[in-house]
Amino acid sequence: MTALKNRTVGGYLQIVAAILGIAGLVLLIINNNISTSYSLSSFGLLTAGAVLGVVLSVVAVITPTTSLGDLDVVSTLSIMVTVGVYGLIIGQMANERILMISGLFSWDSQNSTAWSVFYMMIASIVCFAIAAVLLIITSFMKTVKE
Amino acid sequence: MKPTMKAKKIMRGLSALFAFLMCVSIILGSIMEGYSSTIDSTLGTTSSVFTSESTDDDPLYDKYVPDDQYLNDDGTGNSEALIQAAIDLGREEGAESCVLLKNDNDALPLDSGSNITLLGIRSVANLLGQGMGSYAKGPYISLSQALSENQTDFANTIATILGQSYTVNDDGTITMVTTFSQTIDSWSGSEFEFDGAGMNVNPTMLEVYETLNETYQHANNEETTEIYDPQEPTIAEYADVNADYEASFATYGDAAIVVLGRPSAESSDYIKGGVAEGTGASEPLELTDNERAVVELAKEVSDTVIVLLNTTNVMEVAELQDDPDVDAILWIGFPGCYGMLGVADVLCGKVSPSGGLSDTYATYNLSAPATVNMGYYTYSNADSVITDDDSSSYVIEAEGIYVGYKYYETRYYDSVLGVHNADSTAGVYASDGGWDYEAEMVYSFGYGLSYTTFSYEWDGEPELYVSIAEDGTPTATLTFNVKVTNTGDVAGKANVQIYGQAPYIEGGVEKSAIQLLEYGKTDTLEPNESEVVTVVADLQNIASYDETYDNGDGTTGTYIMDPGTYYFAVGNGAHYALNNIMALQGYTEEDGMVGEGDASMAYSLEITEDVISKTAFSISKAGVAISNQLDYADWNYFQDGEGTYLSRSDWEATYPVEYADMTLTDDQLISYLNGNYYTMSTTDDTSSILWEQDNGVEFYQMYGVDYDDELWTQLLDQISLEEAMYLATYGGPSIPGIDSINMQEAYLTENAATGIALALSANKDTSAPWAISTDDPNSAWMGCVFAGAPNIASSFNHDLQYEVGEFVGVESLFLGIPILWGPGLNTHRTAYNGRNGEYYSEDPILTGTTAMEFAIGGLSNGLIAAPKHFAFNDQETNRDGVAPYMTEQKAREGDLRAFQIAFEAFKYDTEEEDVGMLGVMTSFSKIGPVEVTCSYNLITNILNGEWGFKGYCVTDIYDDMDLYTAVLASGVTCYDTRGMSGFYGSVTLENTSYFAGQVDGNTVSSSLIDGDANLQESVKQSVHQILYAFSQSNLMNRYNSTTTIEQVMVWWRVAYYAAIGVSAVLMVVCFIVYLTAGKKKEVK
Repeated sequence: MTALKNRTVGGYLQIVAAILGIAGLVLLIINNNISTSYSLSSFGLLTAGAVLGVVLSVVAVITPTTSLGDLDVVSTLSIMVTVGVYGLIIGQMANERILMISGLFSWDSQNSTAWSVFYMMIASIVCFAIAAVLLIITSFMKTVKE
Repeated sequence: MKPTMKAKKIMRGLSALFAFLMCVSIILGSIMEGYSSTIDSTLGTTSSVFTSESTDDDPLYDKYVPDDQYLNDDGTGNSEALIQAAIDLGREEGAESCVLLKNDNDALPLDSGSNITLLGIRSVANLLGQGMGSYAKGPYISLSQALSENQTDFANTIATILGQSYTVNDDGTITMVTTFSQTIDSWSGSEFEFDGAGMNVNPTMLEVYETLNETYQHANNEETTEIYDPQEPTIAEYADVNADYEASFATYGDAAIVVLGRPSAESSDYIKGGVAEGTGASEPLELTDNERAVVELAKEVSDTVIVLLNTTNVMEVAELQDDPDVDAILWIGFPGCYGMLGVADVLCGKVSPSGGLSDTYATYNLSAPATVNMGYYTYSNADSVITDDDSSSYVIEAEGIYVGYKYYETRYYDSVLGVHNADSTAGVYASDGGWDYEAEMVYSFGYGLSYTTFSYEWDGEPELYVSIAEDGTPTATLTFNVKVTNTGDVAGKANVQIYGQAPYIEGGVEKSAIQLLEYGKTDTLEPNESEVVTVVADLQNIASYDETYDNGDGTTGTYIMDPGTYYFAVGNGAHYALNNIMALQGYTEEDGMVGEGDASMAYSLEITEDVISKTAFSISKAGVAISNQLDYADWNYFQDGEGTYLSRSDWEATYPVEYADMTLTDDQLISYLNGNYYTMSTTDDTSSILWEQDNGVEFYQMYGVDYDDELWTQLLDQISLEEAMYLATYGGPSIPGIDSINMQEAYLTENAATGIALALSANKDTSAPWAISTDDPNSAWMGCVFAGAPNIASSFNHDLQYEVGEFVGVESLFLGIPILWGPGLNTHRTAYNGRNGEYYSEDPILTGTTAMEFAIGGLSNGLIAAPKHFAFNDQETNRDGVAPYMTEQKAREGDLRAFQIAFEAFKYDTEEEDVGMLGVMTSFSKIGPVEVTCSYNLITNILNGEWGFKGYCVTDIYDDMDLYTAVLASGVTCYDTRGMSGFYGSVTLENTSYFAGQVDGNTVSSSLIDGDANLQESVKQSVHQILYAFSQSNLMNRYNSTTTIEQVMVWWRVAYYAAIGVSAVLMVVCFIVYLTAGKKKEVK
């Protein structure tokens, strides 16, 4: 609780980013399991990446409250890796769905299953994207009070 | 805050930002490389280019060369000549496809200089093509321009499209969203002069409709909707735009031309009763109150009222036929970008109409028995027994062989003869009491009028030719020489339609009382001029498929020709041909005939066993014995007695009932529906199947090599199994390369039958001497400019059908596309099919013959036409896997007969060469419970076996990718993988997401079939067929021993490289500064 109380706005935003990463991960899993026809071929890698991102964003939340202090190298590297991984996840998810999306907006527009997959993918991507943006913003900020 | 801390924060933030940007750039670059071919098509870039060195010994671009008329003196391409030729051909196509249905008081043609008023929103928003699938794109010539102008205004007349997409609502329902746009952004290229109709078109009404259309947003390519509203403005709305619009009628009252239309597109059908409330119509193809009001207004405008039917779906126009104040009805279909010039030619009398209807115009479309079962049907227990996503829907095609005119005319025949309960009330819609042909029919199939009159007479006895080869392959033709004389006052062409009637045996195999066998067309005949038209009918097309015939070898079912009296006739459509036959049989109007018959235009032939044996056609032209292959197409095969198919033996008792909520009980049926078609082996001895042999053969050497040549074996053995799997998987538009034979990955396939849907600026063979550069002012021109399929069919003109294919072949040379996904070759099962604009006709002979001419025409320029959708794509509703159940006779004599004619291309066979089509696309649908893509019997036994097909056989887009091994095993050669490219790198068998979930639980990879000998053989066969098709195409223009692919540093590639590099450097720099700033702080 002390660690929480000592946090600045940036620190709280980091926590929000971590939660969004978890939400993105859950939505990614749901997205993969809506239909066997719309499984993600790189689901394992995406999941591993998302888990890594979430863990590292938690690390970035914790280390400033330890003896390492604010703006430490560990949290900085954690954030850099996390935003990079989230960027790759967003791109790869879009990559795997790009053909489905092009179909939805043309010849396959009445495929309700694919629309469900599409909306779930958008939700997941939005979570990861906001998480990445928040982490980038907080990396410009102090995260714990002096 | 200390400056160092501030700098550290900033550098830390920038490090994170650039890390993010670097990773996003990397993944974006990867995506762009994976879809580079699509990006090139869209942006007009060329990210990879064939490079070959042409030498005297090894020349390039010498195998297929555009005709001189399309080239400049130095051999470079002349875009203006190309477009001018397209305009000329489109004009001819537009004129010859017009079908004049009514012309009272000689209302047509109109005099040049007439002052006319165009009415109806479609008079401004002309329907030129389909809303999806078979568009007309780019600049066009509108109806009003064709009637009144002499020069194109392409810059301001660009075809529009009304696209649709859908969103899923919270309650699971789907809402449609429409978007209106131009098919190309702009046109700054050439304008062209033309010889217009010389009329004066009421500008006030044009302005009224153009203003209204700013709100209505009707487009030139539209889709239908399940609750359809043609959105014809009310008359009251005219006054809102121009209160004095009626004042213009006095000046432009020589004639009023009303344009009525219905759109057509893939993906959605018209639905029974699917019409918007308040329109005054109960069916979507019926006229609405607003449309009727426009017709009434036309009567006020002028004493001469002409209606143009701008539709490829049969509209219900009985009221117009019966209306004495409607003087003329002209069917114009979807005339494409330049076809309105031809329509104007007909309206002003430069050309006399010579087309015939490619579909039956019944009083009510629902009177066709096929309409009893169409649309949405789901198994009642699907939720509990179906596990496959796309296997819950079905349709039982209980009408049997009686589709279109074959129903109406056969029932008419039986009703005149007073047999088989033909005059019962079953299936009655318009009749008062028992079924009455005259009440139920408006215009029969093939019907069409002219501005002149023709007499027809046999020029000698028809000549029968019968030959049986040593292997039993039959050839039996009947050659008709028909002398056609222009007995009227104006010049014109006449089509010659030859029909036949096979003897029906009570209780025997079903037979239509009349069926089209072949057709021909005269040149333009001046008054009193005659021409003998020779029409060669292949008697295979009058043979019937008897599913119960015992072949004596343990198999059942084959084609039969029952001995007896066969009748043949020429006639203005199916009805009059049948009347001519009935006249020869001694029937008259007193017997109940509707219309007269002319016995002199009919011919009877006694066919006995010694003339043509009953089972002569049990051997196919490829020398293969024919037997039942599709018995599983019949619902009764699994659950006997649950379905009844229409039989002329008793029209009343067998008239279709609706088969809704059928329950699945048979285990095999359920298993098929769940995709259990093939069990892969992992333990086969595959050592006899050779891969990776060092035979020193390269792909370029295969041009012109016979399919059975030993060189193919050497080439195929040289390829690795992995390479073969890639080629047998990714079927285009981008086709994988094969290093071992020096074949390069390239973009090689495109849509569709209205021309190639690609802009000249997106040419895929930029090395061709005639390639049009992106600097050319006409480089935005797209090849898909021709009329809808029913138009070219209704011309009944072999030569014109060939010429269109030939020209699209020229387009293929300019665009570097050797394989075309088209034309559409399914038959029109009902008027409600959303895709009728892409398919030719309800009749398989007209469909197959038109497609054959198109394809062989294309092949003359090295273009391989791959018609779609093989087969049974009978409705767009639930098209992703709908299961159509039918008898094998219906399958064989309907869709399959159309495909067979096209693939056999019997007309073009010589003793030296067996000509045939080299490509096909399969259907999304099933045949019975089995996916077409997985039907070994359909693909391997019928297509490859009976018909001798040797070529590229691709699935529809991403179809059945969860049934990988079954598709490989069926004989399908590859998937349509539109969008994918960069094979072996960005795209692999392992990372293609569509393969991620396999029904059989397998994981697709390059080693998947290492232990399955059958699949390896099948893959090798697929590669053989694909490469053979390409080796016969204009792709070979660009191949020799030096051919390689080079990557080009196009701007988008530079952009992502730069983005990665810059963000990486900045990330590192910022991170170092961040670290340094920290150390400085520590030192202080």
